[in-house]
Amino acid sequence: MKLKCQILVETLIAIVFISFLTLLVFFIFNVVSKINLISEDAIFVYSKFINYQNILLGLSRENFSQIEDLEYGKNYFLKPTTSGYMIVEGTENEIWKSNQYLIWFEKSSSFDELDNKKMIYIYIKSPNKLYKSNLLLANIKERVFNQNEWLFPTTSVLSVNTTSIYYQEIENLTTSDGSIRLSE
Amino acid sequence: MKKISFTLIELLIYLFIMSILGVLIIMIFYSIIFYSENYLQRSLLRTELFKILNRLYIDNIISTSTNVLSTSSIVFNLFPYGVDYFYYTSSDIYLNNSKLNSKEIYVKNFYITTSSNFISIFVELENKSRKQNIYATSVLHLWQLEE
Repeated sequence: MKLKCQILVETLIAIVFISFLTLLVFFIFNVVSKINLISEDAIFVYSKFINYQNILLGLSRENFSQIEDLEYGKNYFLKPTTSGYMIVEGTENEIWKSNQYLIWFEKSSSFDELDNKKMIYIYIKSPNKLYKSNLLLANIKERVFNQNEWLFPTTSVLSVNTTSIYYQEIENLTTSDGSIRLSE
Repeated sequence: MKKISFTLIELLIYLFIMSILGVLIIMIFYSIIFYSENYLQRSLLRTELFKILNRLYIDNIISTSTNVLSTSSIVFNLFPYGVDYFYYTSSDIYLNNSKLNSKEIYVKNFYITTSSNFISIFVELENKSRKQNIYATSVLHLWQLEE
């Protein structure tokens, strides 16, 4: 009887130990690896979003008509040149840590009636998610001319809607003719 | 008292099975420790990189540039008014004489390229054991308000 009790206790301890080990292995190799992947993804997305925002900001400061001339519903990306960046139609394809990312932006028609403000939607398609960031660019050139008290008349200036920069997962994604669209 | 005895074969089989189990358990624990260390190192690198990028972006937003020097020299004035000096030594990045990276990591690569008013900063970090690295490029637009 004593031997049976001992075996029972040892079996219970072994079950608890093996269960703990199984959970640990599952957590380390499944959960942690996903956290790793998502975190590295976030670093790339974060830097890419802000880079695009800074570049678009710079382009709008230099010449706001570049933003105004963009057509609605078309995808654009930024191509580096020897003298800055130029806006090119299409999507940028970038490989980072063996993952393929698609980056593009489009002009939103929601601010069409406001000539001095343009809303830009920047998208980044990672292997798992599609991220979206909003950027509001404003041209206050006219306001500068109309207001003499302004000390710094500039060509075109920005208004970055930093508070509205957010990440959003979008499920309705369709790809056709080499371009990516969000279906309703 | 009843005496329990094993034959030599039984004992050898028992020891063989136990040794295999022992090796497996050691391998599992070693892999867990190795992977956890790996994860912690990557986490540290990500945090450090995020910190540096954030500092660059924030300083770019709140400041304007008077001049940009991106020569082969490792010290250059990136931010205005002679206040913010952003420079790089063989393994560390400094901004205003305060080190941006912690002691736990090295700065492996640091490149700066300029085109027009845009400045592109490539930063690659690696851990002390120099087995893990992470990199990112930040693009800033430097401009000056005309008075």
